[in-house]
Amino acid sequence: MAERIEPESARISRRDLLIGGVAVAAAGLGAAAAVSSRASSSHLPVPAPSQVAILRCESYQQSIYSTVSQAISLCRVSVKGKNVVLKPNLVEFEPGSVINTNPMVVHAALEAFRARGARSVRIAEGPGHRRNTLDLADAAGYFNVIPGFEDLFTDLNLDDVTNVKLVRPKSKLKSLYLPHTVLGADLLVSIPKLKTHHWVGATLSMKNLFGVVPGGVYGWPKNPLHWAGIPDTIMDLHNIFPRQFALVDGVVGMEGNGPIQGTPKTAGVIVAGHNMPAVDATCCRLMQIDPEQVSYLTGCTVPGEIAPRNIRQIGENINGNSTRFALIKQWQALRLAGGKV
Amino acid sequence: MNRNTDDLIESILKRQNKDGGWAYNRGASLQGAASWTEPTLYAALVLKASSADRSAIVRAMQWIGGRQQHDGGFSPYESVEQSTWVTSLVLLFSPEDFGAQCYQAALDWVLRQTGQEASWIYRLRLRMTSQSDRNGITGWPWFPGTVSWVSPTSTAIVGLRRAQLYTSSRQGEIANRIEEGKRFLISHTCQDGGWNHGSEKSLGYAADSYPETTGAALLALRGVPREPLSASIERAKKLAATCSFSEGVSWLRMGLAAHGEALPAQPASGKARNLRDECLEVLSERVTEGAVQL
Repeated sequence: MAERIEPESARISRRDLLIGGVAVAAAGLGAAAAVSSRASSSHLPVPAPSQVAILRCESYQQSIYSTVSQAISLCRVSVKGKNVVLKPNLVEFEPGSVINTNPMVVHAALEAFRARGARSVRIAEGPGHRRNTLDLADAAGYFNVIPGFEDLFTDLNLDDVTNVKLVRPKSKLKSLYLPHTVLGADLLVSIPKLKTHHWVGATLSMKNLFGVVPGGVYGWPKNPLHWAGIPDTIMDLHNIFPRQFALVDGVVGMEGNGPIQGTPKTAGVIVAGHNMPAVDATCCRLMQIDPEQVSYLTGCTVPGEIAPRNIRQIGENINGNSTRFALIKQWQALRLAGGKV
Repeated sequence: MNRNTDDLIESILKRQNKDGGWAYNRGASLQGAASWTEPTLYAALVLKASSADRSAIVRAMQWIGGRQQHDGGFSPYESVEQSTWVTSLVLLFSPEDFGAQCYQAALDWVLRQTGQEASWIYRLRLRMTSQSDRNGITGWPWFPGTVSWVSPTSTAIVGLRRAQLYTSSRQGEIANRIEEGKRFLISHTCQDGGWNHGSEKSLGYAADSYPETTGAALLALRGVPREPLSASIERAKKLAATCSFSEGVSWLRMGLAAHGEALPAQPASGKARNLRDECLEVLSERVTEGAVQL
């Protein structure tokens, strides 16, 4: 039997003007009504270098709590009095596998943001294939690791939604229904797994935002996103949320035919930063993937913005911490030339 | 069953929103309290099959009626102005529940829906990438304009089967779409005999089936001779023996019942996580008792 192809999953061919933003249609969502001012184009200057923290973390042990806290401190995340939403990546029921974000990383983030005075910290996710999100979270260990998990969690597939108009979208979409929980967040924290991806090369903090799109409206999978173009919709979703932070679980990642059928690969890192393209570019280099060949990363930044000289690494450096992640043959062109990072 | 069915029905009834609909989630501590079409339809279906207060059903039907769009389909949520797959669930009711015109419009909408796999451009794309176009056999998408998947196809088949009982119009077309939908499901069977969301292979790798979609597909395939489905029925039994969540066990129960089979003696069922899970628990019991036919 044939495979199902994902249409429009190919490249972005231009680096044209990108001005993203949203206008929330409904009232009662003051926090969500802010319009993103993120703007870039090929003739605009490269913004000031972004800071991205890399910290060593060899395994999912107690020490991960201090490592995650340290990453948040290094990035100077201010959350006092803010509503924080943590968005892990939950995909499939396979206890012991590396498909899902490890719950210890999420719990460590929860405790770190609480300790810094956040008004509320919620965990929220809307898986793309499976409808029974709480069962999936249970199988992934979230109930065991995070006390009171069910009361802290929102299933974004079934949350109340509002229509959000996309301003100058990259994709064919004109608007998206999005869950109130993420629209009302003062800070949306994307906590993906470090994985290769068979349709877009790598899945990291930006691709993880597919999980905020409600299955209750669009289905399982969220097929309208595929039809509108995966790289383009990744960029559109990135532009909707003006206040983001990325915290990547790279302790054990996935190589090969990710994001589901790949194999575990130990990378031993936690990667964090406010600028998602810079964080994802750093993660690519840690996997020895050239981020400037990943279309959604180049498509949402000005030329040179994600070059090594424009990302200030704090904590550890890339050279001493990169790991060669296997790539399927369709993505061999993503390999960093000469292993340079 | 984790709980007495009457208690479950009572609990479902208590959580009806003031507007007549139901939310997916269970309690005030959880997010998402607004009414959605899918849980409202499931709750109403459960109440219809019980001796519960009729006024609750009437209020539910009124709320559901408000979700019908100009194209005849139903939207999944009050502020969503787009008909989706939930329209198929409306067909599980009778024309008297919604009014004959509304019911017929919903039926017409469901019959109009096909997946993009039926379009020539999609088929050409598949052929150009050396993939089979499966002769353009189509099912139903979750959302118009996209490709077909196992769950919405299964739901549409079950809904159309129900509609055959209530309408004399378009009978030939309904029968043809049901048969094509069944062929779609069979062509998307996983290597292990069951079904997942609808991608049985990814980049050449065989993908595993899921309990919930295996049960739903088997329910839709009621009436298909046993022989071509023997591997699927065996797979469903294996999944039921290890399935740890309520939704999966409920669908497997209904799917196996559609082929004269029961669940293994001691399924490892978990607790219902939301209202939809609870409704499916009750429905699966009613289906196996023969009180409800899907």
